[in-house]
Amino acid sequence: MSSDTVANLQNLRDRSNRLIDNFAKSLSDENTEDVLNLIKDEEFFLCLEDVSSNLIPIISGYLTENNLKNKPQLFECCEKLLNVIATHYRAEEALLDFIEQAECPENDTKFCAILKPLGTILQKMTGYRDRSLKWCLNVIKLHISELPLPENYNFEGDEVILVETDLAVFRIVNVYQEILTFLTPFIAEVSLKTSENRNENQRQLLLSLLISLLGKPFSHLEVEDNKSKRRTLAKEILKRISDLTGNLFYYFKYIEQRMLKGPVQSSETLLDESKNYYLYEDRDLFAAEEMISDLAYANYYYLIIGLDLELGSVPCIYDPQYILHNSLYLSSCMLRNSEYVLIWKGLQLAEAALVKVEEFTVDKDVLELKIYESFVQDLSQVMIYCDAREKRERALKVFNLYLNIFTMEAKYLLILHLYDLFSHSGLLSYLTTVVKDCVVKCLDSDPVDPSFMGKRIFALLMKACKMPFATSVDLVEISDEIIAGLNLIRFLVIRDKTNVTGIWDYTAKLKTDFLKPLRGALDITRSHYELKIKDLADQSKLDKSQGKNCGSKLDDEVNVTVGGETLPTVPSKEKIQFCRHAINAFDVVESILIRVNECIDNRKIESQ
Amino acid sequence: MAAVDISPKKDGGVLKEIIKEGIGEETPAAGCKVKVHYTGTLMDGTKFDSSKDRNEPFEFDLGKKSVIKAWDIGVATMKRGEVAILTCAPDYAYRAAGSPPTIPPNATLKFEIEMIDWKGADLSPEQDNSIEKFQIVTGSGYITPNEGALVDVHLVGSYDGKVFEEKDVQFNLGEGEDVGIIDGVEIALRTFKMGEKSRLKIKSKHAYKNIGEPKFGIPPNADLEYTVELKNFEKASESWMIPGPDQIKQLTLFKEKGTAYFKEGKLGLATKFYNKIITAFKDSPSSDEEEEETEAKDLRLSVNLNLALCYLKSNKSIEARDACTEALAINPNNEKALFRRGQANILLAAPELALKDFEEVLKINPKNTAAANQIIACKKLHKEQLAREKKIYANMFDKFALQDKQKEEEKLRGQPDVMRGVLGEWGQEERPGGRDATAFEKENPNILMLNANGTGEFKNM
Repeated sequence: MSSDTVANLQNLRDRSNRLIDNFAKSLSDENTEDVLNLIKDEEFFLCLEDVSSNLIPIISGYLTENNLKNKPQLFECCEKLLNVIATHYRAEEALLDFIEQAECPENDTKFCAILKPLGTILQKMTGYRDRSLKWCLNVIKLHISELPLPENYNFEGDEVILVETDLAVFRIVNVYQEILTFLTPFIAEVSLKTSENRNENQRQLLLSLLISLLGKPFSHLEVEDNKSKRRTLAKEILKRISDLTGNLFYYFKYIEQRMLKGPVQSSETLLDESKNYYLYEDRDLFAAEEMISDLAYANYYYLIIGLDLELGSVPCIYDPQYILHNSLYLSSCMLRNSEYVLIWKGLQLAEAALVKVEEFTVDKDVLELKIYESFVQDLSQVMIYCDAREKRERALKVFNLYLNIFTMEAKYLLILHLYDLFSHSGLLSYLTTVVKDCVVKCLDSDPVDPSFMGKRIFALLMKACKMPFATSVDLVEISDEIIAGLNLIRFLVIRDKTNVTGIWDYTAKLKTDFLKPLRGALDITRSHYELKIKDLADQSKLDKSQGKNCGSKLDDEVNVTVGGETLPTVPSKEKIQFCRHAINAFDVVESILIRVNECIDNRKIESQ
Repeated sequence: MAAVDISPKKDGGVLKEIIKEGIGEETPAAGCKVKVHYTGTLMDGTKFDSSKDRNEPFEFDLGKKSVIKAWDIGVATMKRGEVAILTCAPDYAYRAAGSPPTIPPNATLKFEIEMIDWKGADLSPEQDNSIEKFQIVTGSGYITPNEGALVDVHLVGSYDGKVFEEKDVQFNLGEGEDVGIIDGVEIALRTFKMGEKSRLKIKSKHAYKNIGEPKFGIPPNADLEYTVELKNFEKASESWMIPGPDQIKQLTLFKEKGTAYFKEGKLGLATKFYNKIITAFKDSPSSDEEEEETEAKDLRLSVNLNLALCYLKSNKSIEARDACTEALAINPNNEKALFRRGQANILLAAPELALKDFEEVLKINPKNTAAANQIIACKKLHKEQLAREKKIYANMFDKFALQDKQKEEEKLRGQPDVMRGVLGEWGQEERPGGRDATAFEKENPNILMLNANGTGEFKNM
């Protein structure tokens, strides 16, 4: 190496160092004029290759929210600077430097600002962009995955506008808007509407990203409010997806795969899959849970089916039942969460898919699909335990719609199975009323539908009318169930005089297995509660005479603690009231029981 | 060309009119990935949907019930390049519900379809067409066997147009290697539905690889063809079991799996599978068909018998006895059930009950020497037991009486004798009338006789 070139190199290095120092100093002095002069200088472009990777982190450091608000000039200057570098610096290296800067989960301002130069660089890379684009998309995914979720509020009616006040919502909407702006030119390049020669890889990459954007945290946003920014954003995303694919329902095939995949997988196949994962990475853009979560797909189909967004551009060829099982799977995924907004979306998706299916048309062979069981299970959890009344009621409505799509034969099998699946007394009693309605329907049809007749109705009765643990159970807890069961028997014996259903072949068995033990249990529990009332009354008299106001020492004191706070003990008065309620329930049970026995006995007398 | 009714029921549900003839004779089989362009119109000519407007052909899997019925029927009859119009009655399309917003209720739909191309279903994990499937008979239902599920298949393997192997085989999916099943067939079977029969084209890397199989005369790197029929498989979602012949078929499979485990000595697993069957029967109401009823009875009987054997081997005598009793409820004269219950009863130390069971066995089959031997053993055991009992119980009462007495005395000794001091003295002093102690009182200083000498001592009491 000649001494000349060495000197030149040295010279260049000195100049570069000087330049970097100048930039750093001017920026820290907030002297934007100097900075802008520096980049006009020819020298800057001469050293650009050397200084850029040093300059990018320095400049990026000024991209803070504070600067954006208080020193807009400085901020703007930095953005400009970065864009100049992005335009002139070697794309491959600039990309890596910028991506590194974009990895800042805490700082949305910086992330959004960096997206612009990233876009500039990517646009320069025509023809060999796939890998780079993928890196950028990964950075985007990483950033949104770190965004905080909105608070879990249970909004009802107009309260929905309050969503806007949540800072997390504001952040999500902002970042998403920036991301969409960033993606727009690349989407336009491969859109089905505008271009003929498309880069397929880029199209699939973008599609996969757009769908995955609908997952967390966007899935946790309420989007029903027509005028909200969130709704507009959701529409925008869907619009872009439909620009990129001719078939918005195409992705059902991946849902189906997930739905059919059994819950149990041997460790061996799992190993195999992870081994293959890297090999067939591209093919897995839509299939792998890591690429697009269940929640993202659920939210995607909720927007289309539940809210009717872009529904007009969906191919009108799909079978409603096919749409149904996939939607049920996705709905289940949402119902399983504790966030109200997800439960609500899940219910709406299920409802919209259910109304598309004609009543009494779904045959028993679909029951093979596990989802028909797990969906009801998830739905019943909402019906029983969700603390938002509106959601519970909606869930019940969905449950009715669900039951109604099946043929009588399928419905019979389903209900028979649901008796085992449910344990909540109220739900079981509801099921019994459904059985009654089905029997009516079967009897009314001509010829009589055999689905709920003979041995079958008996099998159902055995499940509807059972005395758990013989006579020792507390009847109060299961009184709903028992009343419903008794009502069913009463209905059958009154309605079916000619023994079409075959009920009269089983009355003897019902008497010994259900009606008699019930009578025994009723007598025992009733006297127990009467005694309790007497004790409580005595006690409260005693308390009064001694000047105590509440509580009694008579029965075992139990403390109930909720969330670390001990609930006050129940005053005697309320305890008595509770016992009265119980006795009331027994009265109802007893009156129906007597009526049922009477009906059965009457027939015996008549036939003699 | 006139429209032809192509609905299977010939009810005019799907009418097809060919606009442009296709090339060749081949039509897509169920399971193929089909690519078409289409335009759908209502009967009044309103266009409601077209793939051409979206600039992308429509792709779907044929015969998977993912599209309306008319399409699965109609598209399956089309050749490459063919253009046809399908007129679909509401029952084969969106029925009374319609498909809002575009399709009104009870609408007959017209589709002009252009068949662009199709591909056989590629099942290879690498997606390189190394395992291709062409359905011959479509299976029923929705689900396919899971990893580890017992499958019952008939397969014919051919190489170079010559059949080299044909067999019925049963194995757990994933363990096919043990019975000489190549992995290509196993991978394919995971996508089979109940009753499906398909032709498989398998490249050597999923068959005998670069080694070949001399037994069948297959050289290294040979591509093979198989025709596989999935006759039966163990379904994962047993809870939805639907009563009827399918259920019995399914349960029979459980039994076979259980028996296989039993033979391997895995008693726990065998018991699990047998019990699955028992619960399934418990939950489902019995069938109305007589034939099924007897079949079900036979199955229940044999399962209970096998279960009893499992329990006997794993020393759960009570369960074994109950299973036998259950079996006898189905058929009171079953020799095995009686015999096994006898065995269980012996283990439960009830030789007299066992004896009854074995005697019953002999009544049914006088030639059963095992039972005869057991009877002798029972009697011996019974005698021994009696002898032992005799020994235990001999002089039992004497011994107990003695023991009791000793215990009582012990207790008495332990207690302070309240009578001795106080009453004794009081006895002396307070004897009414200051009379002398009677002979009895002397002997028993703790007792004070009242009215000992017939005088009016009670007067003041």
